[in-house]
Amino acid sequence: MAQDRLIHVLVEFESSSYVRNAVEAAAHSFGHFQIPPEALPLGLKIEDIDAGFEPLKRSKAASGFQRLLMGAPTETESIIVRATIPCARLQDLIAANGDSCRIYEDPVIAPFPMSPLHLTDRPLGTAEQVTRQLGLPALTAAELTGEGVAIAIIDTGIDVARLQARGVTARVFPRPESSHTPRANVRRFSPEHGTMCAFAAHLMAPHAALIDVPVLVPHGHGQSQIQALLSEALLAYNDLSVMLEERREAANFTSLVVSNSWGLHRPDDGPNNGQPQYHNNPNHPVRDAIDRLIRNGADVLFAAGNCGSAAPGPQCDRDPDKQDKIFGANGYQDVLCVGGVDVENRLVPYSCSGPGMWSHDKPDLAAPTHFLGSEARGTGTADVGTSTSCPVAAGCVAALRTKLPAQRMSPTDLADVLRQTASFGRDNVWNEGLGFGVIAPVRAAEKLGLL
Amino acid sequence: MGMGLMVLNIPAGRPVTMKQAAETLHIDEAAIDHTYGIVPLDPAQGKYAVRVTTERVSETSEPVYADPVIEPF
Repeated sequence: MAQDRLIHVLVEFESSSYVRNAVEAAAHSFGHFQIPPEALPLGLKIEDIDAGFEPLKRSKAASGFQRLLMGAPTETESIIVRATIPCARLQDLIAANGDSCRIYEDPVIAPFPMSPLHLTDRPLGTAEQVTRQLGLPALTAAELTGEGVAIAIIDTGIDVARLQARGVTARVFPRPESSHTPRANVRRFSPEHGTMCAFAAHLMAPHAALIDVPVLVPHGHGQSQIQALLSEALLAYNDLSVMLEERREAANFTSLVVSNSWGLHRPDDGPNNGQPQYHNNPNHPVRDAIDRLIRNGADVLFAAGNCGSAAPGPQCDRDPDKQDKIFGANGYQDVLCVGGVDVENRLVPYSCSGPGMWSHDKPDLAAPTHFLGSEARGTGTADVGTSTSCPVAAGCVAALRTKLPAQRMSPTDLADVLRQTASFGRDNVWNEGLGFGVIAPVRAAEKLGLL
Repeated sequence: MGMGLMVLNIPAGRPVTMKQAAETLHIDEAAIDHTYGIVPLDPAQGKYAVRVTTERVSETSEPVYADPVIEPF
């Protein structure tokens, strides 16, 4: 604490007979009750006193306060004044008066600011801040750049021209072709969301290739809703698994990271032949497809979702009991579920908290979001949501995979290391907001012997 | 018209036709979405998925898994 810094305090002191007499005398002289200089505690000067604050009397017998103006204090009442003094005098004041004087800090208070996240898409930082915070220079110096790694973006599609305009030079490969998805059948449309995700994935792994897997496509009147059936994601996982198993396009990559910034905004509750739904069925076939992908060496990441009860989006369930739930594939044990923090590592209020429905400790990690990045949704707009956090984390994983292919460390084991090395957590104890903490690729690289 | 997913187990390595899938699942072949195809879930274990129209498989005793709409976050 700087000794010359002024501090606002409340000073409470006993009303000794000397003090009471001084107050009475002042009242006779000035016509009202006030604290004369001689009645103040030792070391407290009249110029220290805040004249705009009416002195108070506090009763020792009955809790409560009265204004001194209401009458002279009695021997059972103490007096409280407000003062502003240099920090350097604080100890002297306490020492000079002993138990007869008590000093309380009078801190500045203010209304809780309304989170800008409630109001606007205004960025709360920049992509440069994100990469600096996550240690891109250290990773780059160690040649952990994502070279030889591919990141599959399971999303709405990637606008390569926009990415290039934002300085991203990654190679972008189309979705691997399988007998189920001839490329001619893959629909394309305005892919803001997917482009945002691709940009985020590239931040920490600038030499990684991207695989564009457009699954979410327009539906509804005017094609206004971007969505898909879950089975389309299952199909995409099959294509990626086949690619890995047959080593076709995968010949270009040593590792594959799969980023999923989608899910259900609310539990599915439609009738379905008496069977459990997707959100509450741990044996859903999409789990087999994801398990197969992970067995094939792919790291699979999912966004936690944007239905955090502190600021649920309009599409979220209005029932608070159904918010802040991580269900379906987003909460499977072997995927990395990623919540959102801002560039100062504060949990963003819309980030879905845990626990997970299937695996308690979800989300696993958090990663930055709500920063100025791709501007895919418009000039000056932030890249938002756990949709952004997930690919940022995927880029971190891709960076580590540069020198650590799945043959050397399984996705499950790498996920454990990422949990153990996360920052800003609580001593590696899971909590419902950040999981085990904010992803820390440099710490992970150190633990893995890659730095 | 609701869609669902059904899982079938076929001895590994055997090619699967729509007709075989329908017979294995005890459903009408027309209930299967042919454009979706027969998707390997775990081909080493002979496990596959098909997409079906739920209204047309209401009589089956085999599990029909939900195929909900997913959206970007």
